[in-house]
Amino acid sequence: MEELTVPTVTAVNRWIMVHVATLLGVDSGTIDPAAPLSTYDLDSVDAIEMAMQFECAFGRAIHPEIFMDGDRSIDALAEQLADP
Amino acid sequence: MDSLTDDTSDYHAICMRTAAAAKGIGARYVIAPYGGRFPEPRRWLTFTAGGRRYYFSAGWLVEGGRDPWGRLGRHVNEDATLVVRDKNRLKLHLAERGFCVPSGRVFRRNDLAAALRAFDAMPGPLCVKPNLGTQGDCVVTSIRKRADFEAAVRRVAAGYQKILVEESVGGSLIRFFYVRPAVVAVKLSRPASVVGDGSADLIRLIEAKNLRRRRRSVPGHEPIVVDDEVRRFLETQGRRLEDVPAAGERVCLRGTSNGATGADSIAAPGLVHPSYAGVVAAACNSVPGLNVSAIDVMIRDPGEPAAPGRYWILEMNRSPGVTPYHHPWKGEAQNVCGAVLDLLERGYEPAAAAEA
Repeated sequence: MEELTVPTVTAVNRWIMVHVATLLGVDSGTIDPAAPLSTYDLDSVDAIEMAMQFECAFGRAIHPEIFMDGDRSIDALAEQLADP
Repeated sequence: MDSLTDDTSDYHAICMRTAAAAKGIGARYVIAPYGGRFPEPRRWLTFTAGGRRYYFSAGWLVEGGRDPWGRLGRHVNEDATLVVRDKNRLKLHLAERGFCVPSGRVFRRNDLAAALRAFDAMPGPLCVKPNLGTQGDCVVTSIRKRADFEAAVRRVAAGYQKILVEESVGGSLIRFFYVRPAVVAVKLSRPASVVGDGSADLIRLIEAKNLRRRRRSVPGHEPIVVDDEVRRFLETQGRRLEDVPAAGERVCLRGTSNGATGADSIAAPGLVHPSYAGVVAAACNSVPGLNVSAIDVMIRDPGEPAAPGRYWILEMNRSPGVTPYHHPWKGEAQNVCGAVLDLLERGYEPAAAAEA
C-alpha cells in the first residue's frame, strides 16, 4: 500500500476552503478561513461527506462531527487535522 | 422501573420485545447514551441475535460495539446514511437508476432569495420540506399561493440548513417496510381526516374522532391537532372548519401522512398491486448498506400495476417506526419486527467500513 505523507496545515486549510466553497456553490476566494465554521451553515450530511472526502484525500479517518463544531475556524481546524 | 418493564413512551421497543419473546430471544432494557452528538442517556432494548448484541430505541437499531468512534454501536444502515438522510441526494440516486421521484431542487437557507424565487420557476402545486427532516416536521404540501410558499420556506429555514422544494404529487401514500432484500409489509398512510355525517361541522367531527382515538388507544395514533396548517390545507380545498361535510364524505385535514400528525395507518397488503413490492425492493437494494427501512411512495392508483408516471418514491427512512404495522388503525397486524429479527439472526451484509 502506498505510504501517505502527513498533510501540511496549508494543504488541509486549502482543501477545507475548496470543499466548503464547492458545497455552497461559491468561489473559494469568498471563504474566510478565520471565520467560525458556523458562518457556512453546514448540516450533518455536509459533515459526513466532508469526512469521507477527507479520508479519500489524506488517507486518515476523522469523525464527521469535527465539522459540526461551529465555533472553530477553518484555520484552527486545519491545524488540528494536520497534526494528529 | 426495572430492566424488564416496558415503557409506553417507546411502543416500538415494546413491539420488538414482543416479537423477540415469540422467537425465544431474551431481551431487557438498559439506560445508556448513544454518544457523539447524542450524549444524553436513553432507554434501549437490548438482545442478542445471530451471535451479535443489538440495541433498539424508538426505531434506531444499532449493533453494539462496532462503532469506530466509541459510540454505543453501529447503526444497521450506517453505510446508507449519506444517501437516505439527504432527501435530495436520494432522489438523484433513484432517478439515475430509472425510479420515479418528484422533480425538485434543494436550496441553502443562506441563499433564501433563490429558494423564494423557486415559486415562479417551478410549476405548481408545490411541496416544501426540510432536506434532512423527519416525522413530517415543517412539511407543507399542495401549495398554490405565493404567501403560503414563502411562509413554508421561511419556516423550514428557521430550523434547517437546507430547503427542498419539489412538485406536490397526489395519490395514496403507501409505506412499504423493507428488510433486505425484500418488502415484508405494506400499509396505507391516510392523512388526518374525518368523515361527514351530514349534520356536524368539521370541528365537531375532529373532536369526535379524537374521542374515538382516546377510547381505542391504538398505539402510534396521535390526536388530530387543529393548527394553522390544518386551516391552510382546508382552504386549498375551498373549505373552512365551520363547514358541514355531506354524510359519508371524507375530508382530509393535512397533506402529510405521519402518525405524529394524526394520520391513520391501515394495513394494505391486499390494496396495493403486487408489482410495487418488486419496484420498492429494487430501489432499496440499489442503496449500498441499506438493511432495514420504511419507504414512502405516493401512488396514483394503488390497484394498478407499477409503471412510470403512476408512482413517486418520496423517501426512505433510516430508523423506521414499527408500531403502525403491529398496531394498525384498521386491518391485520404485520410482524415487521419478526422479519427484522430474522435478518439479524441470519446476518446482514457487513458494512464495507467494518470489514477493513
